[in-house]
Amino acid sequence: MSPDTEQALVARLQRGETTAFDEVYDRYRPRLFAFLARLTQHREIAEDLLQETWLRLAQHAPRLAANTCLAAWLFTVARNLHRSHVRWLVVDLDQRRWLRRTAREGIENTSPFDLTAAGELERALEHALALLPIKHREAVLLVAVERMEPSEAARVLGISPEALRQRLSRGRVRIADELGRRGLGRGRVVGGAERPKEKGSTDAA
Amino acid sequence: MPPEQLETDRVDRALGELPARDVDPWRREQIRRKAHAELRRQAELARRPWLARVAVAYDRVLEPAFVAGVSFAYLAWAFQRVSEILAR
Repeated sequence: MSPDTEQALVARLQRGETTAFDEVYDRYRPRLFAFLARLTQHREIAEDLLQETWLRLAQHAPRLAANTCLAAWLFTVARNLHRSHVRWLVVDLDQRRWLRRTAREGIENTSPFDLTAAGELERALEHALALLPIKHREAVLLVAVERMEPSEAARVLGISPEALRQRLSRGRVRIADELGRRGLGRGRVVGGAERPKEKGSTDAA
Repeated sequence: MPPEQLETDRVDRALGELPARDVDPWRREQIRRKAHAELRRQAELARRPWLARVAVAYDRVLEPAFVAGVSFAYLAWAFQRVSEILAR
């Protein structure tokens, strides 16, 4: 979205126009939901956090700065809500029991999109993302999946560009390792399509 | 380019092609309706600043003071009752 279009949209949001909200909602909702679902690994929790994110936008609409970058604003709110949720999980006894149970049952590290993934590679990527520690996962999701500029992603995460670079690098290596472990290593992950292995290539990442 | 760089570039490209997903249509409309209602409420408050000040005063002062007062009165009553029972 061009900065002019975005500024006009923000101005309409400040005036409380629901049509402006709908434009923003339809544009960013799928991206935000995918981000939250991959971050939380739980569809219902992602839906709750998604709702809270949009309600925050509605609450803060009249006070938005004229030059607000809506994507960065929304992803920052979504990410902060997820952080609060994780903190709450740690102190809530019932939730801790639930976490222990899911870990025991072996469903802890499955992505909510595993079942709907179209192909082997997509499933493997979703699984590899689910295995990443949260701080690496959020960096990879913002930069590699959402194609956000690294400087913007660093602002969303509240870290320095150097810290972001390190998290990204570690996350990518772990994903490449996981893909290699599943036989989708070098030569097979090209352009998002699965290619037959090249002669002489190895699966080790 | 080193092989590790090539590999992470491939991983990045594949990650960039992961599809976005969406919530169920029913949930999507539920969130939209709630947000519209909140947006209209905020716009109304922005049009009438005195109403916004009343809402802020109620949320930050009146309601907490009322809850604290009722809680304190109940605790005082309960304490008094227990003291009376123990004194018998």
